[in-house]
Amino acid sequence: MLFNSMGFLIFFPTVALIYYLLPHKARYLWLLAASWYFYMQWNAVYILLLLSCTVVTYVAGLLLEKIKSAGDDGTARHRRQRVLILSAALAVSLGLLGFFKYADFALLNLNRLLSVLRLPRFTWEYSIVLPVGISFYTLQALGYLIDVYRGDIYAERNFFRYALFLAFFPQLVAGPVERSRNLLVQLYAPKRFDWENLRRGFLLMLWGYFLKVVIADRAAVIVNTVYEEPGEYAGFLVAAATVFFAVQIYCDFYGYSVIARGAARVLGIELMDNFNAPYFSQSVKEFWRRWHISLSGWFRDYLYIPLGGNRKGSFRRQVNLLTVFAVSGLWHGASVSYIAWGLLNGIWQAAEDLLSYVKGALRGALRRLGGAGEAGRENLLFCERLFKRVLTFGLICLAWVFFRAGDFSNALEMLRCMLRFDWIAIVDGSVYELGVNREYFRVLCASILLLGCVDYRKYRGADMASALLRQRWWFRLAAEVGLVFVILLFGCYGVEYDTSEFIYFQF
Amino acid sequence: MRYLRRGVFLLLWAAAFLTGVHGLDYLYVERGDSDWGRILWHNYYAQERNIDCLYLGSSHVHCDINPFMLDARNGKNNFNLTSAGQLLNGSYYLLREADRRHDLEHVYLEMYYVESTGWKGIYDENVVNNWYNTDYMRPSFNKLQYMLTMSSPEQYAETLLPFLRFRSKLFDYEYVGDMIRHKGTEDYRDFVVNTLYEDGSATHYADKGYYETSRQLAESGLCWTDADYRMEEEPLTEDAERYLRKILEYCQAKRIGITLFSSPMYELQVLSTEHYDRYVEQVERIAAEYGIAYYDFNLCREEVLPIQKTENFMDIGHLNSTGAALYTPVFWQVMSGTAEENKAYFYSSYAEKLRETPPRIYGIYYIAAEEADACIDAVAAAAECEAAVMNVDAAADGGDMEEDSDFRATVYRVAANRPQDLEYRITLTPSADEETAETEDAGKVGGEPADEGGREQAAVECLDFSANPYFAIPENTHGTCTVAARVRGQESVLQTLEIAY
Repeated sequence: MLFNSMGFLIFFPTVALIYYLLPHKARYLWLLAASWYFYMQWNAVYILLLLSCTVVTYVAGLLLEKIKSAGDDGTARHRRQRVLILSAALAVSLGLLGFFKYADFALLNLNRLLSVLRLPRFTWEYSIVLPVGISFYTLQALGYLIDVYRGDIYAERNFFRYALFLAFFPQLVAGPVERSRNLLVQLYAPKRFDWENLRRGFLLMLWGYFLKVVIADRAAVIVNTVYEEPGEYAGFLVAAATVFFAVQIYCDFYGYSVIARGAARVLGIELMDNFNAPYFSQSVKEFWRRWHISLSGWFRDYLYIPLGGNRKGSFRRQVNLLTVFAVSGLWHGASVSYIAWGLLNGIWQAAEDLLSYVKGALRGALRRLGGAGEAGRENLLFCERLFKRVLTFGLICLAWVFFRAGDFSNALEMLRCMLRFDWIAIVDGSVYELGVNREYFRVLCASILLLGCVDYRKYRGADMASALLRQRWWFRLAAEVGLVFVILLFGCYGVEYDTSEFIYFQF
Repeated sequence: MRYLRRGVFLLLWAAAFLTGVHGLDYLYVERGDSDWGRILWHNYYAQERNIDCLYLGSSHVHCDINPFMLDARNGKNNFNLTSAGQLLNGSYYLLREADRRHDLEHVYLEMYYVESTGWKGIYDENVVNNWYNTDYMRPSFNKLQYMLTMSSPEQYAETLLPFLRFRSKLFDYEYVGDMIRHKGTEDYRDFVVNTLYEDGSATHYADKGYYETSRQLAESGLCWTDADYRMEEEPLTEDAERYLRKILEYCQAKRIGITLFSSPMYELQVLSTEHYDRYVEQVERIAAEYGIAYYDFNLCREEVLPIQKTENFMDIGHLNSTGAALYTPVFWQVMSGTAEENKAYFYSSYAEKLRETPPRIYGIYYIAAEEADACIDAVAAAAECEAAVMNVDAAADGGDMEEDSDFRATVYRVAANRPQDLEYRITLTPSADEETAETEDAGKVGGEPADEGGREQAAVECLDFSANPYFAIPENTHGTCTVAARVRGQESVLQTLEIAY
C-alpha cells in the first residue's frame, strides 16, 4: 500500500479513528495489527521475514539483559556469552538481509570470477523478490540490539510493543530508521486525541504529498526519458535531467518521510525529521548531516565510531569514512554503481578534509581582496556561500549519476554525454520534449522554487509548519485548501499515470 | 468556545473546498452525450408525482420506450431512469435510489446482453457511463456505495471529483472558454437539449427519461464493427448475475413487482452474437427461479412487432421515435398480459425465429483477429482482391504492380438468418479519393457510402455466389461493399445491400 494510493487514504483515517476510540491499553495492539496488515498488502508471505527479525532480536535483547543482570557483567564468561548472542542475532538478521538483497549480486560476481578462472559457473533458478522495507527494519532492529548490548537501554519485555516498534506502519518501509530511545519510549506514553497533533500532522502530510506527486513524480518523467536511453541525449539535457533527479529523489524520499511524520503525528507519535534542507549545504560533509539523517546517524553510531571514527589519526579516519560510505552505497542496492555512488561521496568528503587548509587560505585572500568594509565583507561572504553551495550541489549531482544510472557503464556513458555540451538545447525548447510539456514544466519549476523557499527558511532554523499554524485562520485555510487543489490538479496520480512507488521502497 | 471555533473552522474548510470543486467543475467538466445525466437527474428530482413504474437499463430503454405513451395506456407515472451502458450494479443502486423517494409499484429491468456479459470486458471499463448518474445523484449513503462499487480504487478520485477527469485540459484555455460559453447558454441553464443534424433529423430530450430522435439507420451503415463478442455458454458474468439476483431479491423483499425484458435490436447485432439463445436461456432460468417473467423482444414475432426495418432504428441497437411508437404499445400489451397470453407473441427460441422467418441478410459484422485466423481463406481472397485493385491502379498509371508484403485485412461475416440456405456475392468498390473518405464520417465503416466523397475505382469481386459467409477487406481502405444474396440453387438475387467500409 503506497502512501499516494487511494487505499492508504482510506486505510489511514480508519486506523486513526479506531485508534482514538479504543482504550489506551489496546491502542498499541491495534496499531500493530494495522501495521502488519499494511505490510502484508505488498506480499503477505514476507510478513514472516519481519516476524523472524522481530522474534530473533526480541529474544536476543532479553537474553543480553538477562546475562547482564545475572551476574558481574565484567566477567569474561558473561562478556563472551553476550558477544555470542549479539553475533548470532546479527548474523541471522544480516543473513536474511544478505540473502534477499545480495544473493543475486553475489552470485553474479562469483560467476564472473569463476569464468575468469575458467571454472564451472553456479546456476540459480530462483528469482528473489526483495522484501519491501527489509533494509530499514533490519537496521532498526540491529540498532535496538546494539543499544541493549551496550546497556544504553533496557530490553523491551512486551513482545507486541517491540513488534510495533519495528513494524510501525508510517516508517516501516522507508524509514526514518528510528532509535529505540525515541520511538519505543513513545509507544508507552498514553496518547490523548490532540487537535494540535491533528492539524500539524495533516499539514505535514499535505506537504509530503505535494513533494511526492507534484514535484517528484513529475520530475521523474523528465529523468526517466533521459536516463532510460543512455547515449541518446547530450550535454545540457543530461545535466538538466541529473539536476531534476536530484530534485526527484529528494522530494520522493523527503515526501515519504514527511507523510510518515505527519501520519505518526496524527497518532500522537513524533518521528525524527529525516532531512534538513540538504541542498543548501555548503559542503558534502554538511550535506550528509542533513540528508537521510536517521541513516547517517545509524552508520555513525553503529559503524563509523566502532571502526574508530576520527580517534585514530587522519589516515584511519579517511579509511573509516570511505568504508562507511561504501557500505552505505551497498545498503542502497546490490550494484557496483551504488557502491561507486557511496564511495564518490566518501571521496568528496575526504577531499574536503584534505583541502581544508587550501580553503582557509583562499578565504583569507578573498577577504583581503574584498576590502575592510562591512558591505564588502557581506558581499564576499554571500558569494563564498553561494559558490560553496553550487559546488556542493554539483558534486552531489555528479554522484547521483551513478545512483540513477543503475549500471556502472550506463553512468559512465551519461557522464560522457554530459560533456558533449550543446548550448542550443538551453533555448530551443528541447527540454519540453522530455515528456513534460511547457505548462507543466513551469508548474514544476514554480513548485521547486516554493520548495526552495521553504527549505531555505528551514535551513535558517524556521519551521514553516509552526509558522503557518500561527497565522490568522483565513490565511491557514487558504493555504491548506490551496495546497489540496495544487496537489489534485498538478499531481501525477490516478488512471492516467502509473502510480510511482517511492524510490526508497526498493532499498 | 474552543470547540465551537474548531467546528466553525472545519465547516469553513469544507465550504472553501466544495466551492473550489464546483468552480473547477464549471470550468472543466464537459458532460458529453448531450448532457444526458444532468438533464435526466434534474428531471427526476423535479417529478412532482410519485413514480409508479420505473424502467431501468441501458440507452436502449431511453430510446425505445416512450413513457408518455405508457402514461396514456396504463394511467400511471412511468419514468426511464436509464443511462448509456448502465450495468446491473448501476441498476441496483438506481433502484434503491428511486425506492427511497417513490412508492414504486413495478420495475421493468432491461437485460441488454452487452451490459451483462463479458463483451469487451465491459465491467472493467464502464465506470464512465456510471458517472452520468453519480455526478448528479443527491448525496446519500446509497450513492457512496454506488460510486465505490463501480470504480476501482485508482478511479475513486475521478469518481468523487469530476474535474479531475479533465486534467489533460488544464491549460487548454480555448476549451475553458468554450465551456463557459456553453454553460452560459439559456438551453444549458434550462436543461434543454435539441440537436439538429445536417440531414434534417433531430434529437430531443423529451422528459421522463425519453430520448426522442428522428435519426435513421442508413442501409450503408449495416456494418457492426463492435461485434467482437460471441455468446459463450452461461454468458452472464458473475457480477452481473449477482446484481441481477440482488435486484430481484430487493424487489421481492420490498413487494415491488419486477419484470425483465430485452428491447429489440436490429437483427444484425443479435446475429453477431452467433448463439443468442444461450443468453436468453440463462436469463429465463434465473427469472423462473424467482417466479418472474422475462420477455425478449428480439424473439417477438414479426407479425406482432414488425420492427426489423432500417427506418425504425436510429442505429444498430437503438430505435428511433418511429420505432419507439411501434414498440411501446406492443411492450405494454405484453407487460399487461399474462404469461400464457404472451406465449403466442414470441418464438420459443431465437433459433426458432431464424428458422421460421424467410431467408434474409441484415448486414455484415466484424470478426476479431483470433477468430479471423480460422477464416484464412477469406483473408487470402482479400489479398487477391487487393492485388486486383492494385493491378487496376497500376494499369491506370501505366506502371507495374509492386508486391505489398505488409498486407493486412479485416475479416467480416455476412449476417443472415438462414446462412445454410444462402449464397453471397461480395463486391468491393474502393474509393479512389481516400483522403476525402477519411476526413468525412463517410469513410468509416458504417458511415455513408464513399462514392459521395470522390471518384470510385473499378469494382473487385471477392466472392462469387459462394456459401462462405466470410470475406476480408484490406485494412485502411474505404469504399462500398456490395453484398448480394441468393437462395441456393436459384439464379435470381434475393437481396442486395450496399454497405460503406
